[in-house]
Amino acid sequence: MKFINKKIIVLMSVFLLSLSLYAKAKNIMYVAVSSASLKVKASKFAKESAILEYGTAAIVIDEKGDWYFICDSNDETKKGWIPSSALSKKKVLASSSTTADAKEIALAGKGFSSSIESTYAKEFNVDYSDVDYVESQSVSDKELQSFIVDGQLNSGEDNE
Amino acid sequence: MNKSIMKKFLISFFSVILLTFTSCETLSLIGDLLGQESDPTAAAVGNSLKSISKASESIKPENEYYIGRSVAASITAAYPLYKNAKLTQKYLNDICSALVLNSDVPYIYKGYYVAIMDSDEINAMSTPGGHIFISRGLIQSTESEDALAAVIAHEIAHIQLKHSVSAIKNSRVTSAITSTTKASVLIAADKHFSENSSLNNDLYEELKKSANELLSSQEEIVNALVSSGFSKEQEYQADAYAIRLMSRAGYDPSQMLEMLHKIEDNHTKGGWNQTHPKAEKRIKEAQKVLKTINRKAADKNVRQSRFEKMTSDIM
Repeated sequence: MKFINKKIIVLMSVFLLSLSLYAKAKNIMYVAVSSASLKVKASKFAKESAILEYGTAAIVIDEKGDWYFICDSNDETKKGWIPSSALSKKKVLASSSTTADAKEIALAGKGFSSSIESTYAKEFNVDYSDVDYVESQSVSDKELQSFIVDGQLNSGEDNE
Repeated sequence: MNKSIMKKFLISFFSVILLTFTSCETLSLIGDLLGQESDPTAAAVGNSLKSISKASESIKPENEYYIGRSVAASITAAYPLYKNAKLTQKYLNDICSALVLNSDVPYIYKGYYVAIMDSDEINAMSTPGGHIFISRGLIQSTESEDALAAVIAHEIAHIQLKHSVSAIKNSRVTSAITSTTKASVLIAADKHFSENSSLNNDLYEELKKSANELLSSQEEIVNALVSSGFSKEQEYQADAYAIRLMSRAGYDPSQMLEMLHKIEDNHTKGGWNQTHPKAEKRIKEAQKVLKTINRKAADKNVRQSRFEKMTSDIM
């Protein structure tokens, strides 16, 4: 058709490219917690099968309620079940990989991170030691399971 | 149809579809592709695309966490921690873990933590990083585990509903990130055309200025979140969310009403009372939500003996 000129062809090409990128992106999600424990079953108290770090790209293979079965996109041997809230559809970048040369540019461009915190602490004389104390609390899966059973509470699996 | 009109229609149609699909993810993906270019200017443009998509999308989990840490540091500077009640502290974290397990967001970047503020005030606070602070005064006013669960569930609600994040998005931080993007592109272009010369001083100063703006934004955010608290609407949302969460976890959600009555009875300045809407209004709103709850909670008395044992070092 004569009216299909170059502009329309370019637009159609970019549209198709966007579609393919969108489709490709659809099955990939990213680990959104600092350290994700994958389980052999879709249960908080199941045995751990692998650990994935923040920002890892994972392929979603199956779904069951609020749990996804995923594998590391770079290492398919690392697989297991994980709650969907521990994943993000949007790419998350770990802020640790900065070279000395690009340090200040990275610092300014990456938003709030551990490097910003160090600078902020020095500039504004902020003490984070009590925050570290707060984060030192931990509740093991075994303790939590006992706490739930003894208190006749729900374990999360009843809500699916 | 007229060829000219058809041509215009097709261009408009594909433009709209392109904008729809050129989401932040696509911008970021195109940015990645350009970022791999060996040409530094193309790479900088690629990075700038990623930064622009970053500035316009929601704040990343890692960023929320570090903002939360800064807010937590401000809270602990204002209210020193009470570290003499290890049993109670552990107990609060157990309750919190049981609640989040039954919530829609059981996992956030570093997890949820509860600590005790050394204050007689009736007060509780939370940060976007998952830190929850409850005052000694508030804990001592409770009479059951379910009442403690009501307080903790309310703070979990603020975190999971991202009430702090909505305030942050409107702040200067997004403009600070965008301005540093422009600076980094200029610096990369300058380096490209003058490989053997040192970085142009003006551009370097521009980048430093932008970086300082980012740091000042962080201080602004921390001050805003600690001093102004949440809106009335956000408080009603948090109460409603907490009631449903308590029910899902197996706690008695009517204990939320008990805690709201306590706030009404304690008309002290500061904390929950200072920044929260009137308790009377909150009680009315909470009663409406309670009527919609069908799930039967286990008798709260089954948890009474452990409540008394685990809070013995603070009561």
